[in-house]
Amino acid sequence: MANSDFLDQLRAIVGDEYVIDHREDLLVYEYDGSVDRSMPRAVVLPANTDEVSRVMALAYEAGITVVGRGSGTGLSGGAITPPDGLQVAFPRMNQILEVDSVNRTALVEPGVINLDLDNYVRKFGMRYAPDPSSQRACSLGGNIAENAGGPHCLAYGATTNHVIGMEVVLEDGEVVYLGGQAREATGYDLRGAFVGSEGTFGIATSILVRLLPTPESVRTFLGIFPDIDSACTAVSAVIGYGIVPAALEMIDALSIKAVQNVTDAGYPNDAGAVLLIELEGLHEEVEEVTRDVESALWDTGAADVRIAEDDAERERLWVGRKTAFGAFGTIAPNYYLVDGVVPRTQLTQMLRKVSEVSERYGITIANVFHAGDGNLHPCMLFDAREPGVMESAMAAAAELMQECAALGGTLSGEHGIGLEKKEFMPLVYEDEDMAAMQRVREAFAPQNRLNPGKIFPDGSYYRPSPHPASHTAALYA
Amino acid sequence: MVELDELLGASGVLGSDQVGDYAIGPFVPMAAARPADTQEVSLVLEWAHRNNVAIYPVGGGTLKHLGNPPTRPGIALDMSRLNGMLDFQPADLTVHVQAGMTVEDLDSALAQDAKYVPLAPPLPGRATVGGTLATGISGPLRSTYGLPRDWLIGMTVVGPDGTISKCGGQVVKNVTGYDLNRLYTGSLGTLAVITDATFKITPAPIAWAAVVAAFESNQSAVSACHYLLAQPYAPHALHLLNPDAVRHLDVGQLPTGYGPAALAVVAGRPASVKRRTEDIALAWLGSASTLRIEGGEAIQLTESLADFPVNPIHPTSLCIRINAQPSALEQLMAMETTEIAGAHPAILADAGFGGGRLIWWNDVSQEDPVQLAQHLRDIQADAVASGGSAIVETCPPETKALVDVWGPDPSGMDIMRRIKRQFDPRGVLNPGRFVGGL
Repeated sequence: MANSDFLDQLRAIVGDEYVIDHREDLLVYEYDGSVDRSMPRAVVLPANTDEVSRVMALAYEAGITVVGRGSGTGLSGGAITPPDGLQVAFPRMNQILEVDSVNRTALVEPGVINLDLDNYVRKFGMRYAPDPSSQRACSLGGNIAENAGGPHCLAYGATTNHVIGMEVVLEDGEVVYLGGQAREATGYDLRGAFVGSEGTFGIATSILVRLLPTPESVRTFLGIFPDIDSACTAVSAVIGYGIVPAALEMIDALSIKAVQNVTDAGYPNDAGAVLLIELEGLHEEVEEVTRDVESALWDTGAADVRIAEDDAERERLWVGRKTAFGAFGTIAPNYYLVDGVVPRTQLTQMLRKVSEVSERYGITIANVFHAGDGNLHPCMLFDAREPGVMESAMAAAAELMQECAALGGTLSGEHGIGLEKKEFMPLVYEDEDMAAMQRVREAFAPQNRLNPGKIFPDGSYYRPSPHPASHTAALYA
Repeated sequence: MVELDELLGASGVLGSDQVGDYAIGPFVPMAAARPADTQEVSLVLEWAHRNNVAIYPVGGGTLKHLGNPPTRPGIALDMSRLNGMLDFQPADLTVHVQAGMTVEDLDSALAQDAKYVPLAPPLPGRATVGGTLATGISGPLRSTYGLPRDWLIGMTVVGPDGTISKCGGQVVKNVTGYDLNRLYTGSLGTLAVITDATFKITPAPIAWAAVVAAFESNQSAVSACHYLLAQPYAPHALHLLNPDAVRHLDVGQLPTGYGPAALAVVAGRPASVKRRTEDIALAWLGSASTLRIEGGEAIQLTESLADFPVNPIHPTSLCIRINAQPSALEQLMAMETTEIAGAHPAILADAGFGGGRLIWWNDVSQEDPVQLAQHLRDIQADAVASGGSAIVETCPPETKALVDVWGPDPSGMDIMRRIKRQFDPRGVLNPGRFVGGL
């Protein structure tokens, strides 16, 4: 089928104004939050499941690859579309369709923004627990694709723990419901397999999520430490006291400096590291655990322990944490964030490695991460215009991933594998392990038309490049 | 079976005269293999694949009746010798065990370090970790603590041709590759045999308590449950029992002679347990009668709730698991008027999670199998029509031969069939027993 015929047929399905194919209009769709770029053939903005299904069926017939896109905040290249591929984006499917207080569920379209859902359901005394740092921008559909996490996943689990069922469109346009209305469904857990499949199994068009009651009491602590080692020890001490807080985040000295450059989050400028700890529950519960948290922090050498006095101060502490990545712009023009996981007790060891790698490569690395579940986010800060720096950053990242694997950890805790890490999969999985995964993909998408070239190593797409601009060109070469 | 003897040694294989315990209803396997480790499981499966012999994996056998009747002759694969602790890291809050370890042994090992993993299957003294995962069974705290799949972080499995593979890992947060942990969990051994599993764990609750209240009617009990679940002091488990179920639950002081009883379980730190218990009791002041249960007795009561569907279980009794939304609680309780073989069911409903179980402990084999099968299909169709499902967990073999115990094919059945074909093209793993004859 000629491209113009294909585009005409797309327009016939969704309407003229919802097919984007001019180069300048496509610019915003050629990248996501990762370092990769590629301009799709076209972008289509469907209004409902039926349109998604017809678009997918059309692309399937024409032999055209389809990539779903949420808000484009993903950090592993999940929404990067090959030049001959069609991107399907969901700004028009952004409605919260239903909130059910008795069943404590919400039915949403994939384009709904994570924080919008949470804010909306709070009116009903409920919350949506997964809270990625990008929650002001990221969409539920994208959250499903990546099995997104966030600080409060420590206590409440990642996205998959909060999805009951989904209507999805498969590569050939077939519409299937996965999971149930009830919390358990019969048969294989297709819902569980789909969440985190990075857009390779299908595209979710409506999602039934589980809501939790809002806690009666929330208390947020700022533990201030002279150095990162003592902060790591404190993390183990908190767990050792038999406490799993709602959130347990670490912010190192460099990140504190970056944050304080853009907003006064109340982090002390002279601290070596701070821990942001949140407790939730009944008043009595929070009161009781507070004593243990304070003991754990003081025992491990805290210079100070502060408790947010009111909601405003609490909010300020969290704004600091959640804007850290943006604030890195005050230190260097570019950053590259590596998502990795180690067993909690290996945090000290891993952060020493980060520091050693930083020195050896001459790249500044800031650390702001989910310490409570061992999920690191070493963030390399550099100026990509300097020759060779991008290559160095990629090489340093590779070493960090190797160290995570060597310490019994894994490549990604919440950002996904996508393009970014697919060549590193053999660090944690044998061929047989990946073959089992591919069998499931074969069952969902036998023609492999959805987001192909992601997750699994094939040596074909991933080409580190000395400069983001030329890096792009090399990507799908 | 000579070759199997050579693979596992004579002590690793039981002949046809010793396999009575492995019978699945009237079906008796030809032999039973008792491998000692993952490598031996692989040898058995490779052998079975080569000889096209079906494999029926079994853990503690507490739920071996679950599923449709086997469709091919084959051997039992007894996993109970793989019962070791592989790694326990209290500071990392993870534990790695072999699949044949009993849940009670796992619980005891964790308790020594004040840790806990809320698997809570029925009969934990016999039920194994692998069996719990394969059957997808869950415990009475599921509404707040989640399902076993929510605690599972890694697995080793053996595919039908003997290939050993791993999924997930040893860390509590992991999105590296597809989530096969969840696919294997609840797949009834039809895709692969689980040989070990890693869980995230949690600090053990320090205190336990329960509050029980008897109500005059289903309607008042149901609204009391819905009210409680919306409160900040909501319990960690909330179950509703009809009078027959109250009588059956072996806790002496439960109020009887009223209508249904609601049972709230709370667990955690002492101050929280105290506050929740007091507030729940206060909220239920208007009920016909309330009772507070503390400490060990509350734990015991929770265990009785877990054992409820299989304690006791007779081949002639009938147990139906209903998956439904919490809002369908009143409809579920109304099913107590369903008469089968002259009796009404005991009902144990999970008010927080939704759904529950209907159990007829009387001899339902007296009912005409054709009529009973039709009755069960009607119940299944009704459950599906209201957005859930009904699984016949136990029923007499004559009836089981006439009904798909999983109910009508669920949505996504084509994908499930393709998954089965991908993983087990020759259909040697637990053939015929799962959804849609998988």
